[in-house]
Amino acid sequence: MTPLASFLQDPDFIRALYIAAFACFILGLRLLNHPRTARRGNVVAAVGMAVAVVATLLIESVGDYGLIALGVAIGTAVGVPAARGVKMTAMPQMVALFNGVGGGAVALISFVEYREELELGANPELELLVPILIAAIIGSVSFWGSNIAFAKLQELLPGRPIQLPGQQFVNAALLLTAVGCAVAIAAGAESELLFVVILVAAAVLGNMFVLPIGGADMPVVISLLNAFTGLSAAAAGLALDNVALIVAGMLVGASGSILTHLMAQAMNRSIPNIFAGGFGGVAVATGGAGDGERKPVRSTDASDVAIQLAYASKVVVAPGYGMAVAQAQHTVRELADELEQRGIRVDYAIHPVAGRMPGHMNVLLAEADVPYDHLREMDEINPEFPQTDVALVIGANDVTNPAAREQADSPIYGMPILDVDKAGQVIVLKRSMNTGFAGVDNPLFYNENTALLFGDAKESVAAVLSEVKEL
Amino acid sequence: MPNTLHTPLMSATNAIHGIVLLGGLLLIGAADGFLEKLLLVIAIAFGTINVVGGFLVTDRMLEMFKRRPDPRRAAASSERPPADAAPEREAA
Repeated sequence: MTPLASFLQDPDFIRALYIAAFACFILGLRLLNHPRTARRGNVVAAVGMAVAVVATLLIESVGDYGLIALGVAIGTAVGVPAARGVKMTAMPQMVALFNGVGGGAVALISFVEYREELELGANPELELLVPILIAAIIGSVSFWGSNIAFAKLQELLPGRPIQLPGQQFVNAALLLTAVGCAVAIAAGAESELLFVVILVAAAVLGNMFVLPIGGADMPVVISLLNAFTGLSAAAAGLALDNVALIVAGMLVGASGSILTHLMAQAMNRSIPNIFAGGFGGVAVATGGAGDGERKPVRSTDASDVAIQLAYASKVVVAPGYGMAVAQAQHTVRELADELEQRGIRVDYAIHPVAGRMPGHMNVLLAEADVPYDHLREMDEINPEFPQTDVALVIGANDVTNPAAREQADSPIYGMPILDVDKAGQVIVLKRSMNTGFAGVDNPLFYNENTALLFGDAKESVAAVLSEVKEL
Repeated sequence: MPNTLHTPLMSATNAIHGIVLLGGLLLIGAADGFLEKLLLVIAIAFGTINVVGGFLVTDRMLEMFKRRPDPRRAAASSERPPADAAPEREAA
């Protein structure tokens, strides 16, 4: 062996590279906490990952570079176009999908590691088996749970909670099966079949665990599954005796848990509440009870809306997922520009979880070059609604639902909302009378000062814009 | 931290747990049999998708914050829409 090769393959050198990688991860995550440095933080973390991969490839026992290259090539060929091509509106489900494949990788690796241990002949030690089993269960739950989250956000599955009869019982049985088989293996039963049963039970559990959760809570679910995958990677690291996996996995597990908590807090939802199993089923029934006494909704047209806007002095736009889907952000900004030329103050009310993810609206409006100081956070803009002439709700529903403030029996009761109903006039741009993602009816639509403009958000805004120009 | 950055931060930590790809690298040399090799190639591919896709998607999200006009320039630019908004108007 040449001196250079022996230096590069020295375990101490590899350990040093790993430490450099950890430093990059930690620094990167810190930089990601501030808007100005966030992009650099992401690059720094990616560099850390590259260092960790190179260091691992240097390890003497690592071989079969052909197959490694094949796997990396396939992964790159799939991952790069997916990440490049995805629309801004579909970001959340993309993150769910990437999280899922990570969990899947953990489950597969733990299975192969178990097989290798069995092939070695000697009874595998408990300190190896326990992390392998934990990685298998959590990895499999994370893979399938993320796929369901993806399917819900992509609207392949209905966003509303799906309840199956006896679900709690089934979930408990699945968990018992997985844990029971795991205990049997840990106790010395050498059986690949049992291991496969664990993977399958955990897979079904992953499905069952996300299905009953409403679409509005999906960001929190993805964040939690993200933390799960991190922990399972750390467990795999214990089994493989690889410090990089342990440290990076724990880092993700810890920061992911904190983030899950922050997100739940922003929605005023408690985590156990979210996972106690969806809120939509009961909700629709509660909303339906009052339907008989409801006044009909008032629909309006673009020219009326244009007049109301043009003679207002203060307009607040409350954007939501509907704006994202219709890609209406550019047209919205043009309308705002037109109004501002007439001396009308236009602000944007940003609910922390409007859209499908925290920050979703900020990203879209920033893309449309909306001046940053016109984006106002919920707590800041809410006191201004009583002085607002027109609140223009564009494809937002649940985040403007006054039931969250007033109806103690509403499933979203307690969630902070944008007080658009306190504005002089409320104009809601909406595709149809369907309920929002949470599946809850919205009394805002039946208020006397509310008018609805039906249609695709972008087309509606464009129609209003051309009417305003003619005034 | 601002709510706005929750999603990019989640996405970046998401990319970091793709490090499990290293597990595939460590095992594949000793793997024997078609099944084990196949599973590990899939695991490496999954891990790579997680890492590469994760960092790229995060970067695309953060790219949106890059050009944030300061308030004075914003006031000026809101008076006349920049050129890149024009095609959008035609499309509408």
